[in-house]
Amino acid sequence: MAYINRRSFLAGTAAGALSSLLLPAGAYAQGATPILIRGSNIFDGSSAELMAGMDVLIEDGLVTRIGANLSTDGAQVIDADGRTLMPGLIDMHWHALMATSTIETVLNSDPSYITLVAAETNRDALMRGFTTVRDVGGNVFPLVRATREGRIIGPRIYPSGPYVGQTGGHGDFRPPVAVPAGPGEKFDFFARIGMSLLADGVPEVMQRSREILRMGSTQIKAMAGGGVSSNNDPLDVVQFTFEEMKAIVDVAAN
Amino acid sequence: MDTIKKRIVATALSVAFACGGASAQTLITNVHVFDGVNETRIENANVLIEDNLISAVSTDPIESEGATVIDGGGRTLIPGMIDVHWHTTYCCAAQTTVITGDISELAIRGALGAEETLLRGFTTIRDAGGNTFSIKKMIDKGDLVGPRILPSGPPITQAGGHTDYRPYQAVPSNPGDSLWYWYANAVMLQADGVPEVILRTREVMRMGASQIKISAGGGVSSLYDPLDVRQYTRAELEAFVEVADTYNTYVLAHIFTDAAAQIALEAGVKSIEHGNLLSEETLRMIKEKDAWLSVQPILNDEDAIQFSDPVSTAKFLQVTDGTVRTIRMAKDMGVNLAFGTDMLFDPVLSRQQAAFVAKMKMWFTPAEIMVLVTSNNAKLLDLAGPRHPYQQGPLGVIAPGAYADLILVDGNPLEDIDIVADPEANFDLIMKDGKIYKNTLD
Repeated sequence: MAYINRRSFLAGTAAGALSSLLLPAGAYAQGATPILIRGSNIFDGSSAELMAGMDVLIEDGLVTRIGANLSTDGAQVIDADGRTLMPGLIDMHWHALMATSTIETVLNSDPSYITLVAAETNRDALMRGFTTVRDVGGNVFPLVRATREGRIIGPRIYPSGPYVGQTGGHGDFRPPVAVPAGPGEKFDFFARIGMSLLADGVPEVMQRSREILRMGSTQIKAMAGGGVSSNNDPLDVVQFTFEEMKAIVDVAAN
Repeated sequence: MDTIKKRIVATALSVAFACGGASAQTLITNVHVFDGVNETRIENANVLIEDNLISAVSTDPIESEGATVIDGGGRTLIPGMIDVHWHTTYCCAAQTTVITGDISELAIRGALGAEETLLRGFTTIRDAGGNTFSIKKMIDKGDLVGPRILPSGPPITQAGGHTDYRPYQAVPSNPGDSLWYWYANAVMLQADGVPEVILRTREVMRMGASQIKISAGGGVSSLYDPLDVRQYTRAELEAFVEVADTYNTYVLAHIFTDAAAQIALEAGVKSIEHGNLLSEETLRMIKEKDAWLSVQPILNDEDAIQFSDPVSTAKFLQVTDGTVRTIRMAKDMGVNLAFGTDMLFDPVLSRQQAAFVAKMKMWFTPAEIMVLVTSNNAKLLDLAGPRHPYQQGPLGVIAPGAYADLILVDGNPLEDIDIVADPEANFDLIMKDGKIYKNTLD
């Protein structure tokens, strides 16, 4: 099995520096006053039964104790008053950059503007209860960093970075006359700002996948079939050949 | 499976059209119908056209209030003809245009030629290479007059291959060289190695091609490739086929020789263009793979193509020697055959397009030829599956639900094929998509 479980990998290496690179968000609650949530009914994220009348202690950003009648010494107390306490929601297919901006805005705006709007979008997502998102495409690395540094508020982000797509595929938003592309002409502005990378052929998909991981992506998003919002690819079209897709997977697995 | 997909779309579209309100109707009476499939005519029939489709074919009178009635006067009604190897732009510009002209000249000459093509009775053509996308778009919109076009877009060639028309000094090329003018304008394209093949094939599909045309063997009009040369490696050919397949369409390949054809067929190429020098063994392979041989009656006769270069002339003679033998063998073996003309760089010779249909009488009966250039050619076009641009109904037949692409012929071409050789005199009415483009009945 080529895949390594994240936890076992981290335990095996005990490399703190590495773990901070791979984990999407740092411990920004470190050193803060502990919080005790008192008197909640807990949905623990897996059991179908609520745990009734429980207290939860949070220290340094982590849940450290769950039990009845925990000591409140030195903690900020929040009285749940019988409400349900549940884990934050996780959205596995989120687009911070595209959830609220129209496609025209994304394609025709300065990247700074798009990113600022996305910060607002992510704040709203957190306020809807989504504490973690897997962001599936686009340059959200500034948001990842600013969120980790506590400069903006928003969910934890697992960034995919620019999606990798084939020429004429779901990630190709270039104008009609962009092809045939001459040497050095493949990347439009959208690509150069890390929104979408085009790759054709095994060597290029390997290179682009590695570049995306180098940017700090936690996984690779590939455009592998016809899309709705794109102009050049009917829905029935298969995107990437088997060998190309395998190369992307191999690079990600490595 | 492709055909199924196509028909699903067709049904959806016809439902949409049926909701469109009052339709324009044309009733053609008093005609003998060659339906594109059967070698005998339906005598004394009537055909009703609603909007752009045929809605009824009957020997009984058809009631249709408000229809425009055309008395066929006992003429033969045939489906519009199909040319599966036509070059909308290359046909009608001299080869020197590649040196002295620009993309605008090529497009304008192509547009002028397109109108003549339709008025020769060819209501559909498969364009076997060239940048015809704008011409096609404007014809379909009604801004230009011409046939339906299934564009292949720029034919893709290897360095030194059949559609590498760059000047001799173009090689060795530098990695950063900008694209040659005609490549940049998608009149031709070049790709070497699997990654580039994948890229260029996708670019051509992105432009809107129905199918992919490649040059996979030596050519006549080109200068750097002797006829015996195979073009593209097995891996490159497979890459063309795989990418075309991801778009649910197919590859047609310019090939004359056995070695080139066999490797292309093994890689999955579905349409061998020309094949004039093929042996029985290769023809059997085409048949076994249910592929197609797209032939042209290119002979060293009064219509022989004239080349300025002696290298091309010598190659032309070698190829025409094979034409007679190969078509006869392929027909006898029951290979899937399609008909095209492949007129190149000669606007005057291009006007002989319909005469080339009649030349098929060297191998076929008149009725066989008529089936070949209508319903049979349409079957080859169907390999484009969902990329086939005309999904409302079948082409090349006269039947309810089919496109109203029709010709009213003075005489019976099922008995005398020479009638179609002179469309100006003998085609009295030409209709495409329900619209009349020529009518000399009065």
